[in-house]
Amino acid sequence: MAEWAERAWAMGVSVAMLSAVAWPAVRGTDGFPLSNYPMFSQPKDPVARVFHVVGHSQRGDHRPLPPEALGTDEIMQAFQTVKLAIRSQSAAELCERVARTIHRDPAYDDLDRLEVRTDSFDTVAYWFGDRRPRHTEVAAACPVVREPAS
Amino acid sequence: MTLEPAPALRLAMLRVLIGGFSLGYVVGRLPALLGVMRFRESQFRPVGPVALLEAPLPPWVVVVTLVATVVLGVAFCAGWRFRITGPAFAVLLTWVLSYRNSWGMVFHTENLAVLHVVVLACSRASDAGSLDALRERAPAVSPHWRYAWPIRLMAAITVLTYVLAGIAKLRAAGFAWITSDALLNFVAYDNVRKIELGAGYSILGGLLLAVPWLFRGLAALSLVLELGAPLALLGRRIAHGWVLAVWTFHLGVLLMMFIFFPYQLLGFAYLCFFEVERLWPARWRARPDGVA
Repeated sequence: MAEWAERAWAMGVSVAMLSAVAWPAVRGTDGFPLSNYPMFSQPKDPVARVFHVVGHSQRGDHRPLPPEALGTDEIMQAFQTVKLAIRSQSAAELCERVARTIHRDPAYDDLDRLEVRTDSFDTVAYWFGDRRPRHTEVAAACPVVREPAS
Repeated sequence: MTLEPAPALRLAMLRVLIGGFSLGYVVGRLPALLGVMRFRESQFRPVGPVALLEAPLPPWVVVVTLVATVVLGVAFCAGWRFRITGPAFAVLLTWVLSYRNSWGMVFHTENLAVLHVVVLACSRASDAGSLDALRERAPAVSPHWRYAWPIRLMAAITVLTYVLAGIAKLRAAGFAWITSDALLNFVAYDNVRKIELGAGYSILGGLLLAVPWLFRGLAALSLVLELGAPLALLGRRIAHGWVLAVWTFHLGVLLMMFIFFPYQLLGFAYLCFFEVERLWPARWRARPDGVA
């Protein structure tokens, strides 16, 4: 490649790449692989709304199900999965799908009922011992059906 | 263009290391990358080049694309037929990671690696230390600006991404990002969300909430590091100081929020600020093709 062409290539690639990387900031849009990197930027209300699937046992205990039960190992992907299911009125379907996923898994043997729900917590009070949800909306509930042991 | 010339081996080493990271990332994340096939179509929110699609791809296409990415990744690292395999790997890497980010959640931990691979693919990163150089019995190449501009561009893109993150904070919260409890609330919020999603969280982040002033200091520091990032382009010493500071910042994010930025924390994001050719085996360094 001639020297002038190589210089033009270097200049063109540099301008194109830097413009592309900066562009989302001009437009204020997030995306991939070009982003305005909004993580950690949005002020958070001291009240957090958490979209999750909660398992209940016959003993009256309950605990949130981990991301793996929702088919992902990513926390945020699990959060979005539940959020989108609630917003698209498909929480019941998600509930049954998760129940089918966990019904053979010994780690969830104690659970007999699931809830797809939105809980609101005071995030600061939470860390000082007050872990009760301030508000709860149950979008769907379903049993964890197990085959009888043979 | 008044760039200080760089040795071909420096760019080659970046190809090997950054390509190696990206390849390892794809292989290591295969379960997650394949896991998207289990998501419902209603979750599909295409981003980047995937926005060209109106519906998710058939599963076999996802699998074939991933296999092709891994194969091309090996060719990229080895510098084999790089003029073809380099851009092809960059395109496929962008595609597979965009596809994974197209299910309602964009992961900002992967952007910079993709951008660096794209720059390397547009450069002559296989003029040394590659199968191409070995096959063509390439003559010795002197340090040249053609090996310097991609490295400089990678550094510029790195600092630009931090500046954008700083601008995003100022746009969203202004200087209240520093003067208010914005960061404290964020750490509290993020960790509560993790606990309530049944995932790992940072105990340290929770404990430190008892010290609110600490979060204002950390917020100010993070903004200084982000908006001051372009200073890293002024000289090697400043660059190394900035790299150390920003790496510590990512370590802090890991310790306080349990968020792991692998490309940054493992150091690959900042290799373009260092003379990485020194990592190449010394006995091969003098050879024109950089290989045994």
